Amino acid sequence: MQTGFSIYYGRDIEAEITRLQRLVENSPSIRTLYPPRWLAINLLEGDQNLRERLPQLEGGQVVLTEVDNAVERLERIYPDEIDIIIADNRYGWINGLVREAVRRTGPESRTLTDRIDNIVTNRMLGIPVFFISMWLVFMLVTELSVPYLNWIESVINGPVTEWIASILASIGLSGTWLESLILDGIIVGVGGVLVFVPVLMFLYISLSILEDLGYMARAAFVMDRLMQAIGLHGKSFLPMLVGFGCSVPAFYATRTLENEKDRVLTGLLVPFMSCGARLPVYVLFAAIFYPRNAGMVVFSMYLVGILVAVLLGIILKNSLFKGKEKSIFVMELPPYRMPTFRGIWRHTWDRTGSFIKNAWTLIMAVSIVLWILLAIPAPGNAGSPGQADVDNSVFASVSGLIAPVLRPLGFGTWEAAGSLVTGFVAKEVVVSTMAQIYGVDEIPQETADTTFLQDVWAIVAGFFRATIDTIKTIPKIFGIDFFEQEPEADSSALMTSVYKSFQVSSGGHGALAGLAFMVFVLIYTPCMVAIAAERQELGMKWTWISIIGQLGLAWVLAFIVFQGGLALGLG
Amino acid sequence: MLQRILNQIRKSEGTVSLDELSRKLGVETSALEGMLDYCVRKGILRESQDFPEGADCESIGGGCGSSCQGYHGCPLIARMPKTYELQKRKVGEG
Repeated sequence: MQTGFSIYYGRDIEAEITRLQRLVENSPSIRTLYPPRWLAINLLEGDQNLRERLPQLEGGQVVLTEVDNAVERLERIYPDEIDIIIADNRYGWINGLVREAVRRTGPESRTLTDRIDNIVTNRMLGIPVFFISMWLVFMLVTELSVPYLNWIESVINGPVTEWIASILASIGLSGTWLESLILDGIIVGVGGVLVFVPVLMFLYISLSILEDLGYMARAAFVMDRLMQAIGLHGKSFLPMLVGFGCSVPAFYATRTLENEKDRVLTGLLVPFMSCGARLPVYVLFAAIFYPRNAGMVVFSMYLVGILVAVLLGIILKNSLFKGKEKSIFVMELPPYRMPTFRGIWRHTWDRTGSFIKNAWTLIMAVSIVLWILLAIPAPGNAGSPGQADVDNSVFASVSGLIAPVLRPLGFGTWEAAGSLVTGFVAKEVVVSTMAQIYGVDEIPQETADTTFLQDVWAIVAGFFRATIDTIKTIPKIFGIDFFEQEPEADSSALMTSVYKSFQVSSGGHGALAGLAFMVFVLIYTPCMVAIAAERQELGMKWTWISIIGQLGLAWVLAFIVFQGGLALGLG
Repeated sequence: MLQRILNQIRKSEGTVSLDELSRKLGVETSALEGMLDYCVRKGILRESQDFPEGADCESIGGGCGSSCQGYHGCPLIARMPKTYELQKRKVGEG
């Protein structure tokens, strides 16, 4: 049956269609089942279903042989496969029809998304906009979370510790090793990490807003261009962006890279994207040594990570991973849309929930093991288990073996060494370990007797005060100060102990040593689960290279920071 | 039409957004997506999102432990846009 119109596929293809059409029209068994022109075109396109059915019909094999001959003739003329040439013509015809049939009533107006993208994805402005956005995020995170961080700390160190101590006392466990395990081990260790929940919540809130807004896709777009410009595979940044949350799924994300060299190279760079677990370390040390510029210091750690990854990528790309393949691709950017409170809360809670769950499981286990190792005196040292000085403990002894290696970096103490070692379990354990090591010497403060209800009321009131302080902090970021007086620097016993320890180990240059420590934490080997993922994706050989390489690089960079800073008279 | 699209992609020096491509070609984005999907079916482009098969942190004792929701449900991953990558084959070059 003739249709009212037919698409014209070009002189040569039309000639072959006509030839095949005549052949089909001469085969009654075929022509009664399929329109001749339609059949000819679909056979030229390589329709497998038709190719399987035709031999069962009379004259079908002859038609198929002629189709193969026709394809061979056409492929000598055209540079590509015939099905694509046919589709090309079909789409071109459709496009022409739309131009003829559709009239636009006015000039094409650019949407708001287009106008924003003019700036955000601009070749010159895109990357600065990305870094400014990230700076703003970290400023908000570090400033807004402080009141809540202090509130949680006061709750854990105050009422929660007192309630548990009271319960233990009421069942006759006061002064026992079990009380020490629970209060000095689990509460201090797990609590030391839980105080950073507000920091991570604000980070996840910020990232959720940027994601739901549609900006994170733009970030990947502009960073892809940067990756390409420096010779890396454009899609390398996608797994790296995942690494800012957690290195484990980031290693899996390298599977999206087809080429093995690109996959291995990207996998080697993923650990330098500072994962969420390292944030508590930065926040703690920035608060201790750079209280006025904490946000900027934390942001700079992420910047340093990206910079190290990019520089290392360039070096490796031009040495071990040489290859001139340029990747070309189209990226679908979603339109900008207003984030919803529900969406932001759901994403934030999911992410924070996994952090808290980790604290209750892995970190609690490490806290218990660490408490045991801190309680047992090393062979040859005086004291019975639970009574010995922590400086004489098994943990101190083992960690002390590594301390000399860290001396040139300004933090050559068993405390710092031990914290870094436990960081192999999970990066947030670094803070937890420090809380236990330094917190053990904390002298409990005298507090007035309060009832349970008074404590609950104080907790609730503290939460509301923290919320008000957080709201007042927002304009303060932009220079407008609603606080009646400068709030006193609220240094916990942990912060004071860490400060003193780093001041001593660095010969009075604690700030430099603190910065070197942060750089070391940024660069050194990721946690054991990330290493397992790395081994699964990159293989044993590259995993070992990565472990040793990162340890070495961490030492070198921390050395440059500390010794270089000393040479320049800084810190 | 397909060749125009692919030539424009090659001219883009690496990465181009769908909207930019649509503007340069004067083709509606929805129509362009259909043509890109055709190119994916023909192996000219490779479509990918950041959801690699078999990715499962739980199998290696991931931090989320037994509550690992797999890659698709992982809360720690920022959702990335869909991309179409040009594959190595001669398509209307020259």
